[in-house]
Amino acid sequence: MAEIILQSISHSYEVKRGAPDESARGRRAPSYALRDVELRWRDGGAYALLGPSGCGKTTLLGIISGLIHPTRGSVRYGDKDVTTLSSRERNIAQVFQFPVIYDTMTVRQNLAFPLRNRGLPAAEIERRVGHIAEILELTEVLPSRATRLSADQKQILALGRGLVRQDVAAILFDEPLTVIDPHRKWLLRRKLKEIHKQFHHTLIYVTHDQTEALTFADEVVVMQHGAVLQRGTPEELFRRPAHTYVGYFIGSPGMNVMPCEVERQAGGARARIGAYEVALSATGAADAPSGHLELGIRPEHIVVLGDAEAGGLPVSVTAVEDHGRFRIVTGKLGDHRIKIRLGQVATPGASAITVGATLRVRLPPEHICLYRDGRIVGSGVGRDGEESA
Amino acid sequence: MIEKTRSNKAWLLILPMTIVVAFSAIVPLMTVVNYSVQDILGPDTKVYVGFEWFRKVLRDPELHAAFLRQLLFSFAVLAFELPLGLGVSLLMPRRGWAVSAALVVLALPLLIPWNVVGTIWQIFGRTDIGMGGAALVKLGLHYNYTADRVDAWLTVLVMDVWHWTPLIALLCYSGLRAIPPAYYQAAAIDGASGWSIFRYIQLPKLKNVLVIAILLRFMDSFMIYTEPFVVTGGGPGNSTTFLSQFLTRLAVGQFDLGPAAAFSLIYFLFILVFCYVFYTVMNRVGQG
Amino acid sequence: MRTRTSVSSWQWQRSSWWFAAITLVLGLSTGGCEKKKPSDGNGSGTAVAPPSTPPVDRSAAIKKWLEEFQPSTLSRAQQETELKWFQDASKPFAGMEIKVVSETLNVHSYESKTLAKAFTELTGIKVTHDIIQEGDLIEKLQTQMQSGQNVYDMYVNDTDLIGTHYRYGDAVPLSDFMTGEGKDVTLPTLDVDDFIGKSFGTAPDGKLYQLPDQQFANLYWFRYDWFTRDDLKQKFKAKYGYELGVPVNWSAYEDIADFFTNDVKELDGHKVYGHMDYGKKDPSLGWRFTDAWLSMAGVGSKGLPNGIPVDEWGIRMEDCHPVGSSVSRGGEANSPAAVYALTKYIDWLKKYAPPEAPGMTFSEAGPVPGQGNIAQQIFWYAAFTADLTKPGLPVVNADGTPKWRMAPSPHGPYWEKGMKLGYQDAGAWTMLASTPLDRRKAAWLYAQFTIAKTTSLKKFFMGLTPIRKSDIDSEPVTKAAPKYGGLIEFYRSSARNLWTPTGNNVPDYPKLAQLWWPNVSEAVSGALTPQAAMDKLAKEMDDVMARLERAGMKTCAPKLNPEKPDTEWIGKPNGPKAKLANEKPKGETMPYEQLLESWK
Repeated sequence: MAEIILQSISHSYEVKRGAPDESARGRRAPSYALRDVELRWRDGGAYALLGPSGCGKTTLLGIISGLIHPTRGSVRYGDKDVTTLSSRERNIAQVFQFPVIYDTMTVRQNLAFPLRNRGLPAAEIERRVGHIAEILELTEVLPSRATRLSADQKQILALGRGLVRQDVAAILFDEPLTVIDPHRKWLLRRKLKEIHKQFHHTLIYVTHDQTEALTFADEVVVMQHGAVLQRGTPEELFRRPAHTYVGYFIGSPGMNVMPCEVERQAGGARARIGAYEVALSATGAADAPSGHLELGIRPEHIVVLGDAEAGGLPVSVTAVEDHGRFRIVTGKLGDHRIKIRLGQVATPGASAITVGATLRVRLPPEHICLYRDGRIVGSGVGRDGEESA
Repeated sequence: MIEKTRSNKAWLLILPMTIVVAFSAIVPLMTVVNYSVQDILGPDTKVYVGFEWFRKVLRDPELHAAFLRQLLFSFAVLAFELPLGLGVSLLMPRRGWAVSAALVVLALPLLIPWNVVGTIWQIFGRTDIGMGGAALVKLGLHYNYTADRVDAWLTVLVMDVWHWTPLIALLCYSGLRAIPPAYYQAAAIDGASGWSIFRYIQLPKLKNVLVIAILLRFMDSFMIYTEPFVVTGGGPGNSTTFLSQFLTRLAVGQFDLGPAAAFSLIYFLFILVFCYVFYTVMNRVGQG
Repeated sequence: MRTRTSVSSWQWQRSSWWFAAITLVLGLSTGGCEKKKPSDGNGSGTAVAPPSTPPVDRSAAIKKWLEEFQPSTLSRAQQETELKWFQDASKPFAGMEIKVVSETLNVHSYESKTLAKAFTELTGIKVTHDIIQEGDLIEKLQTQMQSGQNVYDMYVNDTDLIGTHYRYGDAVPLSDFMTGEGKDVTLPTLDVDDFIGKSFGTAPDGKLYQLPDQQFANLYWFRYDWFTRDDLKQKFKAKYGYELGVPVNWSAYEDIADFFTNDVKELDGHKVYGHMDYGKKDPSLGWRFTDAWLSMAGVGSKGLPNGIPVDEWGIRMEDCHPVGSSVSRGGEANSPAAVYALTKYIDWLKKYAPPEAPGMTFSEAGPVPGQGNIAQQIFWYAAFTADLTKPGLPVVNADGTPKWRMAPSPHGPYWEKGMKLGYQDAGAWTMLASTPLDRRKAAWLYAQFTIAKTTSLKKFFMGLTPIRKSDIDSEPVTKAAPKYGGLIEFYRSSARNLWTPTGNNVPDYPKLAQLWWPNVSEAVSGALTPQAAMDKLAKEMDDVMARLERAGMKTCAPKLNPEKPDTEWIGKPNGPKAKLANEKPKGETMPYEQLLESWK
């Protein structure tokens, strides 16, 4: 078990490894699924690869697992360059979108299979299989045919086949909860967390579901169009998205992004959204360049002012969605659409929130992020949450 | 609660199809049943004979021999074509232009009209003008499919294998292509050998395809007529006379409608029963 | 699906029972109902179609076609009279479309292409003359006989079926027709007595059911040029003690076969064989036997055209009733002579014929002598004469004369004088009663056109299948005789009377003929001994005849004799012949020239 290092990984399905771009079929330039990806996966970490369909996460997983040999770049497990090694030679385990088990074998045989292929003595195999089965709570079903298990049990079994080998460098998950019934997904997630605690394998979990990613992983890598947008803890991604896309993708609903003009004034900078002005924090104002930017703020952070409070930006409500424990209020601030997430309890002193009503909201500067061309600018707000008037 | 309306008008919608099926299948079948209990020598000369034909046909030693021969042939055909077809499909390319080329080459024997297949092999096996026969004789082997029954059997068998293995190969190939690549990846990760991959992944996944292939080939080989007829005429003697030829001689050559009808009913029932049993068994095995 | 409510599933069941019941009733009723004979206007073509052909320019047509029909035994004026008669008699049927059918022979091709066209142009009756395989023709015939539906308006059907037609009563007696309802469409100068095959189509009641359209015999064929080579003659005489010539008996044939295949082996650089035959398991293997192989060996009683009481199939007929084919009933199908015939066929096929021969059918084996490797062939249809005289063939001289000759077939040791010897095929015009009258009349006009003296000599030259004595004796034929390897000499001789088709003893030709080839083929393969094969064949034939007896036939149905031990019948007068102590007497031959002389 070691670090997994991806260096300058670029991959196009049309260009073979080592071949120049011109070798691709067709006249147009080959399309690249991954561009210059640099990543390091710490040994024993639980990572999520998050992104929309087509962002390259499955390709990346394939490059790590050995299914794909990248057009350019290298993959190292510790000191060993494994870029051109096949899956068989890489000592990884993988759990797929649908349970990949051997139908004709029993659960016990399934678990024993990887060990038998590696020529371990029978007693050793028995021991390990029993051990893993216990951990995975599969002991009772060991003698049954693998096809008889439920879908989530099958995925656990597939996971078990990876765990049963002791030399596994990493376990890769390719959207493993896709075929699991929603009310049982949590069982699997719980299991994964337990396994991780017990075995400390490196786990790389590919998904397009942010909930899965955010609950499972210590660190999340968000990708889009073949590039890594941001990498960090769930909290980092939430509080300070490095890219408007990350802001949009993470959070439910995603971050509000509105075009604005930043003006430097005495005592700080202000962002103007349409006709309205919003104060920026001191640190935010310090490095914010002036000009056309985008202002991002999460719906959770917008504060609705009570009737008694003065000031605030007017938002005319166009829709109110009741989600049980919270409400999403969609409105318009000037010409821009804005979403606000509120609890069910009404803000004391505020008028009822109905369609057509006008709310007055405040955008707390410590939660404002500024973006130019989609990328965050300035150091923005730090964890100190400094406020400035 | 919503009341369920009942309307029998839907039966009218299937009336056209019913009529077509009735005239093309059911009425002729009933006619055959009718003939099977009569001795028909002319439009005005009909004698009701009850089950005489059935008794006679079932007791006929020639029929028994033809039946056993047919069973042997069908099983031999399956025993050769299935593994061979499966093997060929495993070797076929999966990507690129080679796929189309392989498919076309493989499909060629299937496109040839059956009597032409028979003629091709009949001439191929001739020791004077046929490439195959002449080559065998040059190698010093005694080969004469017209006189030697083993040679005749082998020739008919090889011809059938040549003709129909591509079908099995194509079926298996499509089945193989349907296996998600994830299985192969998982097998690679598990360190499985090529044989293990075949045994634990490919073969089980091909089960449905193989069942269809077996059913198809069994039924087809059980009714084989044209090809052996053209090559050997059923000879030498009776060694390559299979069931369908037995029936045809009765029905078409002798215009002996009574025994022919009885026999064709028995033939039909046998195939029906076999296919039903086989299919049910395979389904049970799959579920078990 | 089990989630259906109980009420609706009951309803579904009830409806499906009705459904099944209706279709069952439909099926049984259609299957079981009697086929009524159509009154008229059914089947191919229409009764009277609006004239689709342009109006006939009668004299111009006659002039044109007179040129085609030369030579003829009639003078041009006489031909013109006949043609004018055809035109007048056809007037009521102008515009009608007639369909007739015959098997595939050169002569029929000529009829179909040329004579049909001529007839249409002369009379305005449109004729479609189909050419199909013999087996298919029998099927079509049986279809019409069994169903009563008109398939063809007339058939050119071998007179082998005379027994069948006579007993089933489906065929119209032409002799009655010509003097009765067909009087106005019968050519006055038809001259039925001129037909050499008239007796073939005549039934025991004396009526003519089938009138021959073409005839050819099954003869012995040999390489005259080789048989007259001095070196070969010397070698042969030295070994066998008699002259090499046309074999008179089977012993001589066998000796000559052995000689060429095993002693001579090679001539002019080619491997040679002393025998050619065919043996593939195929219906054509049946004719190999029923076309008089048994009578050639000597099976059957004396009597012409067919043995009485036992014919060349081994079927015994008393009065007009077939009584059986097994020796136990007085027949000869499994007699020692029949077994001898089968045994010799198999032996020669295996020992002296080319190795491919056992795998060939009749049509594949036919052209083989023309390739130059065969010295003699005992079973050879004269219908191949034209094919073997094509210029350029190895068996044809530069001047177009053949290197080969045909001669009467040798006979086996059981044969006696007074018996028929070989087979003659006579394809004859046959009219079925299920065809509507007006169509029959129109078709009869065409039939006569193909056999009238106006066209018959020209037709002979096109197909080499003579039917009229006047043609055979004519001057143009005498001139052409050297090109035909002895065909004309044979037909002018008295020997030709010994060559006849299958006769009245066979009550149902299609059913009985089909029994021969599977059994023979089992003997060829060795699965059955020849005796066992013939026993089986005789039993199967008797079974079919028993069924015919049980079902009843219109006339002269079989009446099977009770079975008795073979000793009751064997060796008795008019019974199956006893086994000869020596089945291979000394070979006898005759020089070909001497044979010709004896015919003059």
